[in-house]
Order: sequence, then structure tokens, then C-alpha cells
Amino acid sequence: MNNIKSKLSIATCTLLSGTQVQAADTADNSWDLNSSLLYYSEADDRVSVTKAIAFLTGDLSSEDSISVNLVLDTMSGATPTGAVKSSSSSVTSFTGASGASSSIAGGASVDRVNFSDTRMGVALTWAHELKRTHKISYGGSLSVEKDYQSYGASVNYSIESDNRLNTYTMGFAGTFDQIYRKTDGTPEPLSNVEDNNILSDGERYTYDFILGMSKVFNKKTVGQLNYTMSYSDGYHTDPYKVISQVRLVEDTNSGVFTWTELERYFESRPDSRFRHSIFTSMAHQYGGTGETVQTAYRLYTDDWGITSHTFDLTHRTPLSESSYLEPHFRYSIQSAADFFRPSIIDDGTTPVILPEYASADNRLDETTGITIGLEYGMKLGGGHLKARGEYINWQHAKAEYDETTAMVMQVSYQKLFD
Amino acid sequence: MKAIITLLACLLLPGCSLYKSANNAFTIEEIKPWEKNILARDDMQLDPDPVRTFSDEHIYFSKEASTGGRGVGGGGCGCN
Repeated sequence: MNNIKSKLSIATCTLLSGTQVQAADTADNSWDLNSSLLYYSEADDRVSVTKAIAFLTGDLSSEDSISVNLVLDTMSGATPTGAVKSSSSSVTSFTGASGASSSIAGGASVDRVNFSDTRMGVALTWAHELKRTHKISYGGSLSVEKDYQSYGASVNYSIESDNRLNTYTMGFAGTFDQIYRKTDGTPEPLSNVEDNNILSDGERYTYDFILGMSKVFNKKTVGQLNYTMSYSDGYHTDPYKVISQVRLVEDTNSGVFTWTELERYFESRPDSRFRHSIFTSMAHQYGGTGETVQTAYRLYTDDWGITSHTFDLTHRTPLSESSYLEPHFRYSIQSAADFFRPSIIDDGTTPVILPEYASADNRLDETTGITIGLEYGMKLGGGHLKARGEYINWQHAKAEYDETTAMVMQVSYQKLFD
Repeated sequence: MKAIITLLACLLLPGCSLYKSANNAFTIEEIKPWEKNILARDDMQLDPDPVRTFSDEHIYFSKEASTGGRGVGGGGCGCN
């Protein structure tokens, strides 16, 4: 079986994002279909996403294989705009995420808006075995939303040692993104929302590089170490996000001071970003019943001032010959971007000078994330059925919306067709 | 060197009571092809479930500022 042979070669395939390209040692024309339905739902009637996925991988010849990845996302709900939760405001209108327009009745602030969108993504990968231990793969991808388009291409080259215990991989990818609002182009960064200064569509080019190594330590342990570098140039601002200018104002009746939003601006981010990450993972089987532990750690840093540490742990315990239970734990901590601020302060005495860059997006805030999940898997109908549920909680240090809580439910079925 | 690697593994494996297991994990052995039966299992792949990995990476890409590490390519989206 080609897939089994591929697994024995260990880890040449994990360096493609979301794609496990199988090596082609024999041409027995087997096809692997992996399909999934995921539901993501945030508490407090915020974002919900239904995601349908189909991954198809098959052999074209003894040296060639292809994989086709399809994804369809349906998104809706409410998302924070970045504006403060002010009880009073002089701002009177706002165009929200994906073009949902909102009026601010009675001067009340709109700090989140409803949205809906659909995303379709396609990725195609062709893997070719140049010789027994050398493989190359080419990838192309397309993703389309109502307000975003992305086109990507990649090439990955891997070399196995003669004993096939070590694999060295190098890869490049380029991505071109077009960003715009559903109803128009992109707003002028740090312009007043009420002025409605709209510019042309945003464009961004991203170049990625990866250098990786995987190693079989012994009969029960395998590990990998990757270094990735990414440089992006162009429009990085979120065209829907805003930031409030606020002042402490005394209520003439009660004498209580409250933060009041006086102005609202579209956010502004730098026009380039340089990222680095080191990623390491390992899989180890132990115990008499074949329990497996998978661990991963990523160190990430970029020139926006963000540094993060992400730990991931799964532990699979077989329940029988054909089923298992797998708890999952993930912990991440990130620092805030240099230009993140929950609002722009107006002290009422000196004129406000707007910074060059400013964003109140809670995703750029100092954040701690915890995920706890459980997966059950079993053999069914000649394939593998998996079901999992996860709880995710993010705590943001300074953002107006300082907490995001979500539940994830996913059902997947994988089957090999010979 | 091995002691340092073992200590780091201790931090990643669930609990230092598994020191022995961590020590065993990083024992380097020359494996013959016919000794790879455990390594061929689904749960011993470095990416044991590409669909799940793809799903998770989309979620965390959309909600956190950090991304990447596992690979390059695959396409972007407007979620972040």
C-alpha cells in the first residue's frame, strides 16, 4: 500500500500547510478522501463559522501524486469594531465588517457590528519523486471571499538520508492578497469615520521560506524542527476596524466622570511585516497499551513587537483495537503589538496628535489563550470516523472586549479507496 | 547533551514523573526498515490529522497575531 510506504518514510509531508502529500513509491492508484464538517461558535452571540472540508490525495504514477483541498466557510455573527463601549458618543454612523452598515441611534456607540460572508478555498499540490530519496512538490492555492481574494504558489524540496531516518526540507511560497470592503475599497488609515475617505483596494505580497528537519530517534519516537521566515509588503490594515478618541467628561447631574467617545478613526497598521518562527514537535509511543503523546512548541516573533509562545499537547489512549480517546491541551501567550492601544486619549487641554499607526483590534493585544478538547475516533465502514469538541478561551489584557470564548465541534471521516 | 534534551523533553511531556519515558524517547537508535511498524501508525505521524491541523490553524490564525511554523503555502484568508 502506497500510503503505508509513505508513512514509513516519515515526515516528508508535514511541511506543507494543511496538506499531507503522500510519496509515490508504487502506482497502485489508491485515493484517500478525508472529509470534515466543523462548527465554531463564540459566546455572547459573536462569530459563528460552519466549515466544510474535503482533502483528496491520490497517485498519478509510481513517482507522482496529487492532492486537492477544498474548503467552504460560512461565517456570520457580530465582531468587535475596536470602538469603546461608550454610553454616549458624537459619532453617528459606521460601516461595519463585510459592509454591514449601522446607525448609532441616540448617540449610542456601536462597538460591534453584525456581518456575514462566505469563503471558498482551493489548494492543489503535485508531488514528484525525483529519485528514491529526493522529492519535490509544487502547490497552488486560491481563496475567495466577498471582501478578500488570495492567490498563492509554493515549492517544497525534501531529501531523505540513505537510511531514511532523517529528512531535510526547504520550501518557498508566494502569496498575493487583495483586500477591500464589500461595498467599496479601503478607508484612508486614521481618517475620521464620518469623513468616509475611501481609497482603492489594498494589495499585499507575502514571501515565505521554511527550512526543516525531521528525525527518527528510535522505534517509538520521531521529531521535527522547522525555522520559518515570512516577509509581507503592502496593505496590512483591517479595513473594518476603528479606534476611538475618548475624553473623561463629567456628568453635570451626577458629577461622575465617564469616558466618552468624541471621534472615531479607521485604524492604521504598518505596510510591511517581518516574521520568524521556530517550531518543534515530537511523537512518542509508550506503555504496554500503545499510548501516544504528541507535543509541539512554537516560538514566534515579528517586527511589530509581537512575541508568542505556543504549547500543544495531545495524548491518545486506545480504548480497543478500533477506537481511541484523545485529550488535547493548548496554551499560548503573546505580547501586544507596539502600536496597539485600546483608544486614543484626549485630555481636553492639548490638541490630539494622531500616531502614525494605531489599532484597537484585540487580536493585537497581549493575549493568553487556552484550549481544552477531547477527540473520539473509531474504525467505521472501512474508514476512520473522528469526533471532537473543544473549548477555547482568550483573555486580552487591555482591549475593550477583553475575553473571547468559543466552542468547536468537528466530525471527520477518512477513507482509502484502492 | 542528551541530558539537556531529556530535560527539555520533560517540560514537554506530561509531567516529570515521565523522566524515564523522556529519556527513552531521545535515545537514538539505528532503525532497520522492518522495525518501523510503530512509526507507521497514524498517531505517530508528525501531522497525524491534516484536516484537524488545517482547521485549527485557521481558527488560531483568525484569532491570534501569531501564525505559521508548520509549513509554507496553502493560501490566506481575510479573517485576520
